[in-house]
Amino acid sequence: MAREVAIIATGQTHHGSKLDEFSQFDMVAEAMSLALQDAEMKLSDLDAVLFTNMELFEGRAFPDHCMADIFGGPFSSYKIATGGTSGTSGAIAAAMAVASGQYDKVLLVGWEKHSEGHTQTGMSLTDPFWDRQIASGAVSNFALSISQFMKTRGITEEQAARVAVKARKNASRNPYAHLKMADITVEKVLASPYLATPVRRLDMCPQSDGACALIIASCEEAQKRCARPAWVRAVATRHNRPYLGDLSDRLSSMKTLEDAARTVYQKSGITEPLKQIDVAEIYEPVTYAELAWYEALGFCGRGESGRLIEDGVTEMTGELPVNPSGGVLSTNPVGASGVIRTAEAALQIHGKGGARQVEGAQVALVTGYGVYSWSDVMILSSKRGSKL
Amino acid sequence: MATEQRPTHLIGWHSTPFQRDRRSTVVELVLKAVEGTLKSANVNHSEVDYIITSSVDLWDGRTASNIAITEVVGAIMKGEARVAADGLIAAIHADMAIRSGNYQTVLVVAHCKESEVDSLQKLSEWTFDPLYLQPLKYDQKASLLIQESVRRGETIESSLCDPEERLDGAIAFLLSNNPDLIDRKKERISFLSTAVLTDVHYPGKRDFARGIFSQVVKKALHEIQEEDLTSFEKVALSEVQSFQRGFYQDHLRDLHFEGTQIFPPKAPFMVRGLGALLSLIESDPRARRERWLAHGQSGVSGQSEGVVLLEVDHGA
Repeated sequence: MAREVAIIATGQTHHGSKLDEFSQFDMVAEAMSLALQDAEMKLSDLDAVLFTNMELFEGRAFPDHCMADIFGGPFSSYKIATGGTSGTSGAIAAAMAVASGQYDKVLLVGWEKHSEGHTQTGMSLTDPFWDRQIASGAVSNFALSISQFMKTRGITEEQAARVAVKARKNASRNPYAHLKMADITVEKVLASPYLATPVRRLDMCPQSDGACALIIASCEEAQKRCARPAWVRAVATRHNRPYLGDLSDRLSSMKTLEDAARTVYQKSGITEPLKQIDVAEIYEPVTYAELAWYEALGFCGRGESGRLIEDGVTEMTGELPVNPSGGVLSTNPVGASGVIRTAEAALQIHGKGGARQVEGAQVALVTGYGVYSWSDVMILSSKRGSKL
Repeated sequence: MATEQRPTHLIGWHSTPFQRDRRSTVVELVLKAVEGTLKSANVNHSEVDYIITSSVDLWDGRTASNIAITEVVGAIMKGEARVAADGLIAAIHADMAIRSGNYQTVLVVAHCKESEVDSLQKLSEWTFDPLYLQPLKYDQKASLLIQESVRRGETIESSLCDPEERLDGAIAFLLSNNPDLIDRKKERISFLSTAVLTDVHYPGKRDFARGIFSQVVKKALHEIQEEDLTSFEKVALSEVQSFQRGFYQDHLRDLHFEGTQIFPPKAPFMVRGLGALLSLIESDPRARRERWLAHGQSGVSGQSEGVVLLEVDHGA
């Protein structure tokens, strides 16, 4: 980055399956208000606001324009939208906007209100000729990739169920999470019905209503306004062919995530991710994906992700806690999910994680995932400088 | 600008014709724009670091409408982000991506295929609040009529464009601060400053008589520590309706604009701002050095507007 930038504040709504008491506007306003409170700032202190949201999930054109009344007058703002990666793409865009010198303080807010739309229809509106005929929506698409991943790595349904248990137990310590299931067990996950073999209901993320905001500031502003800023040390984005038939493998070889991770590790001086990263907030829409991401992120070797979860390495008490928040498996308002990953990672650096705080967290990894083959990766740190 | 950086230059551009084109897919339109742009800049795709696209899902009828063009914009194993706004605002974001130091060369691509939209009326209605405005049948046409009426101070018989006129097209621009790539072009077109503003949503809260054009221009001028546009020779406006031409001309007088005004041809939605920019590039140079203003807008009655101030050296 041309100049150093940091996340100085976060705010999010309580997430749920059908928040009838809140409009989209209410959710966005609440998340923004909480982030501003966290930074002890007023709206007028901001230079710009970036939005992330998926307009087809609610059937709104220019939904960000509908939110503009929050400003009370003309304000610098625009929307970033890249499917599931929207939130992390927005975070990267906000970081670049501040690093460029154009702005000093940018608020990013993402939201989704799935209960007001039909997500399955939205998810099916990708390739109208081929993919829609054989793998509409997320579940069937994942089922095909997961079958291949299980076969090539020897991953079992029980190992995937352990990911579901970890996520929902972690979520029970997160007051904002959608699915809090403190009593979840591997047996309960394995007893949940198949949605599309081998994906069971408790293997999948929910559809949530909710919003999340964060504030990114220049070095000078961050030092002035935040006791422990989460410095954005490195960012990377990689896209790949989005259609099912165009990639021979997806989960079993997530090249975009591997390459983006390699780039941010190199930029921030990470050579042993499992040892040097203190906490990770990764975008895992399905349990099996988390296992695949362990490999792509270099937390373990090829075929070793099942053992990693069995050994508890990624539990809250493990060497590298993954998704203390409960992750996407517990909370998934798609346009906000990447913002939540980023905000939760920053929260760990800020030391404000409450019951989900990883003690002494200084280096955090964030990932975004979308369109089955797109990846964003960010490294946040409590320390400034070019190398960790 | 807050920091000293190498300025962003426009080093390549290409546009498809703006016309109803039922025979071409979005992918084909975008591919033509991208290939033409790279050729115009004498740049290979391997020299492009990052891609920023501009489109709106509902207008393409696709979820994440950049999915359809991942390959043709060359985003395989590269970074890409989509700005869901006018193409000129995507170019403004591309400028920030370059000045952030993360990227040197960014391809900006905007597309729109209005001929594939099933119901422009439905899209218009879906832009508005579903609780208060949609039940009133408030739409973009109603908004423009109010804007025109307020501006003229009387109720008028509007001559709005035919809402069923459907145009298709794609434009790409290549932006870079890499000296090696900039040197490949005789003319130097550099970004002086940029600004983007979004107005409030509800019509009762908006100042339709003034709009936000003056404010966004002043914001961009502030970045270069100038108060008016007297040093600018050419302005290209992204107009939605012809009456807005007069609307903007009023503001230009306020901003002390002296010189030639150039207006872009009607371009498809989302592509208009880049169409305005293209019209400047394609205009005859009147002097060796010039300063330009390009304007883009999206949303209802110019709810979101962006401007780019540029300096041009046409070369020896």
